[in-house]
Amino acid sequence: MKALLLLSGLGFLGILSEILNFKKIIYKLTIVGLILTLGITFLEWDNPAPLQFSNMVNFDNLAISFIAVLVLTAILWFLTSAPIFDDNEHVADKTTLILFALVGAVCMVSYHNVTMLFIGIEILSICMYVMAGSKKGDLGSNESSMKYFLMGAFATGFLLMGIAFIYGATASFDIAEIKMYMENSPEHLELVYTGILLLVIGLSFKISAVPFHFWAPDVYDGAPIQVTSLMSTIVKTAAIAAFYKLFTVSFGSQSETWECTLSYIAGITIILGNLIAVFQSSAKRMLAYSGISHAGYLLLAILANNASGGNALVYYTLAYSVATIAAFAIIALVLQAKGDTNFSSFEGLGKKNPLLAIATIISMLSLAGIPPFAGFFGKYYLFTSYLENHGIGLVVVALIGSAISIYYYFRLIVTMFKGESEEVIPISGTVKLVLILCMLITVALGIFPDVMSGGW
Amino acid sequence: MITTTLLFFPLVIGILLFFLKGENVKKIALGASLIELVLGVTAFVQFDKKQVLAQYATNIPWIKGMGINFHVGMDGISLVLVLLTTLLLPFIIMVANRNTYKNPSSLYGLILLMQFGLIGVFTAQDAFLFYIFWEVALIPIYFIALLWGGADRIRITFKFFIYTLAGSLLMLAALIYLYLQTPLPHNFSLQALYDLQLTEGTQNWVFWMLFFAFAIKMPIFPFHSWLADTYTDAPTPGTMLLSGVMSKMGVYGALKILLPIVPMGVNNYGPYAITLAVIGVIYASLLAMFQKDYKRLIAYSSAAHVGLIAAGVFSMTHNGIAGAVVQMFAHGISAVGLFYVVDILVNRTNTRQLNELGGIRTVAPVYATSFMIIMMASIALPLTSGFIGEFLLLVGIYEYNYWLAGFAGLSTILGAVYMLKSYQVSILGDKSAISDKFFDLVWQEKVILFPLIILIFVMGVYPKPLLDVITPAVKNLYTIMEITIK
Repeated sequence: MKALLLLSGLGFLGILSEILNFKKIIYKLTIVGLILTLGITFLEWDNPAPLQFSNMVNFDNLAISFIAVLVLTAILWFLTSAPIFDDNEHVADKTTLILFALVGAVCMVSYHNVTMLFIGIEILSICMYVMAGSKKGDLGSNESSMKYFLMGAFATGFLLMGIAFIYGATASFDIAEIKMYMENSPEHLELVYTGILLLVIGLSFKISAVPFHFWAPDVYDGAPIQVTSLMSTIVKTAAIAAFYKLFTVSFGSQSETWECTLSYIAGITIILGNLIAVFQSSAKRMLAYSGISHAGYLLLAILANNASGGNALVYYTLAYSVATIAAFAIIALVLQAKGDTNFSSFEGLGKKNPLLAIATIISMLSLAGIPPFAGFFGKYYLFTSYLENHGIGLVVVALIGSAISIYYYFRLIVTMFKGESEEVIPISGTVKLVLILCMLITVALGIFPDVMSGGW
Repeated sequence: MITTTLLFFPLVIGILLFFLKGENVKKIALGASLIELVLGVTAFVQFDKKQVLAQYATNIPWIKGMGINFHVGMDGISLVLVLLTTLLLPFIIMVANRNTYKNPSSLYGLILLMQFGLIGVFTAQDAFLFYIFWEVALIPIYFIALLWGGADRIRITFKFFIYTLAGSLLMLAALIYLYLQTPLPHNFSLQALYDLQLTEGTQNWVFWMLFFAFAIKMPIFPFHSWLADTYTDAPTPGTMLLSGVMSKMGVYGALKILLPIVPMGVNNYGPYAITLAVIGVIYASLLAMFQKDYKRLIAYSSAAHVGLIAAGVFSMTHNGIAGAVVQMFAHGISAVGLFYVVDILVNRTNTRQLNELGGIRTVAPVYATSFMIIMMASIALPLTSGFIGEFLLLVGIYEYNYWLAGFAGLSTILGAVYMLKSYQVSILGDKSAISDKFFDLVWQEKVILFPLIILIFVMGVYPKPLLDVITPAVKNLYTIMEITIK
């Protein structure tokens, strides 16, 4: 719970920095604050805070682990994203927006009341709409922001309708009470079914699962690269955690109503996301589509409908976020040096920038799910949790998807060893630090996957 | 303890090499591989032939929640392959020393990492660990072929990687399924999987999922299309690793996973597998006959040999399986030898085209004789290393079905045809512009070739130590299969 308060406090500090004119140090202050928050989050581990704020939020161990993943990702992200805080103009605004987005994400992983979920999603989304358009002079950024906003608003409509229907049936927003209602032979089944379906659609929009993914590639492509990195890590982690919690806790006993739909969504997302990613010529867009396919894998944890699914999610989102942050940091450097993110811009990187090359190799191998890197164990945990109470069909689809994904992840690696490049891309000390940190985390999580699987 | 040392020593040295520069890396890599060889031989000598369970075992929990243990050890079959790996590595590193590659420290580092993966595959006693090493072994060889390969390397290595990885993903799915069938708490140890009582229907589909993974790796017809390109395009040390050791991974997987876990599946679908293998043997031999590129010819001949080994495994006879293990060892030696003599040829003449060669014997008699002996081992002449394995294999296949044995036996004849023909064209014949440039072996090359030749003869004349180790292991495999069938 302290994380929520601390992050909100940091956010207000950001606003104050504009007024009280200490915005020059707000960037560093934020990083220190986030590290502090991470430490305090760890202290809350196994220290179950009872339900807080009139049962609105519940900081159990699962929520705390997700918060730790989110805050860690945010720290890594801030360290790699110095360029967008360089122009003195909007430092305070941007910092504040991202901190509040983080607050929204924390609400989404720790809610105990559906209204809180809704508020969390809105806090997160509104901040992200603005951030997507933060490159004011750029047409793509504006388009991205507008699309994101329209589509997001649309999805929110579905979500709200779904919540309303569920409320109509259960007369409660509390997820524990909804759970009780669902377990004791629900009466207004038509309301429940409609509500669940609308919620599936709304949340699928948020995690950009096929066929609700159309906004994602354009938005990811148009937004400033650092914001894209944020969207495909923190936003995705929070959305999937929220999805998982709602469906396993509240609707777990009604799984037959949503399992089939969600299975198809997951299967199509994996196959289509991977297939389209194969044909991209820009690394940024490739990662956007690969992000869609990862949403499909993550859905397996919801379909697993058990506690080990939650464990798998924490592990997977951490592995995925770390690798993605590193990948986007590299793409941002290439973009800065060469002016675009096409694959051809990566040529010759292997010779001139060995650190970048090794970091790319490790993060791509991890994303592709090749042992012994973290991404492999992420997929492995997801699949086993799903197989605990399901057949092997969807796992085979997911494996085929993984096999396809190897193609485009390796394309990036291969390109780096093709051709020649004259210039050495300069890397700042902090980015170097983050890349090394990401590599260490990816390798260490892969060699000692046990660290993450303590009981919660 | 010795297994763990064998496993991690090359890893540590390999990682160290990445950070070193200069000429020293060659010496360090060679020294490390020689120490590793001493360890391998020690393990072989001290091996207790009476005990059938895995020896020199280390078993510590790795991922507790999942029932995954770091469990390594060696039974007779593992031991032979570990010995082969440790034996070939010094040769491969010496061959790499003979050529000049850019970034030698990375190349040697990757070669040693490859050894780590290979020994891991051959010693893992836990199915999950086996899978991890199976993939770990793929990454270094991919980069060796990608970074030091020939002109078309990017496309070729890509195909190779995707092909083999797709196969192993199927294996992963099957292994997870098997794991979930073990009694609670679930367990990944091979022994637990051997103890499973699977129905025949389950065994049938699990067979296919595992079979694809191993068939692609060996490779068996029709999954062989990555082979010739990859073997030809990879740098010579890479080709040696691929054909000398890595092709054995698939066979080893079939012996260690496929036969004991799904014997009924093998029993039901073995005829298909063995037929595919025999078709592959003949097909590869025919392709080898018509190759103009020498390295490609050897690549196809290697495919033919591995196909015959696979046929022996799926015959499920004692002779077939024992022959497969012996032949894996013999083929490793002769493949490395053959690829090296061709490498010498290519380095001096700058061509791999058979029709541009000729008349080399007159200027390089020692080279020509060495080539001849290695070739004899490859076509399994008595008293050379290839003979005993191929003989046992054919006996095993004959016991299974004499028609198949007849076709498989053709491969020996075809092998002699394409080998001798290529030898005749390239080494014998009149002097030519190319042969004038040629010179006989220098001492560094003799250091590599002569020990190989000695090995070929020693194994051909006195294969008993190997057979002594293999026979109890094969018997044990039989007991496991019978228990599972019942």
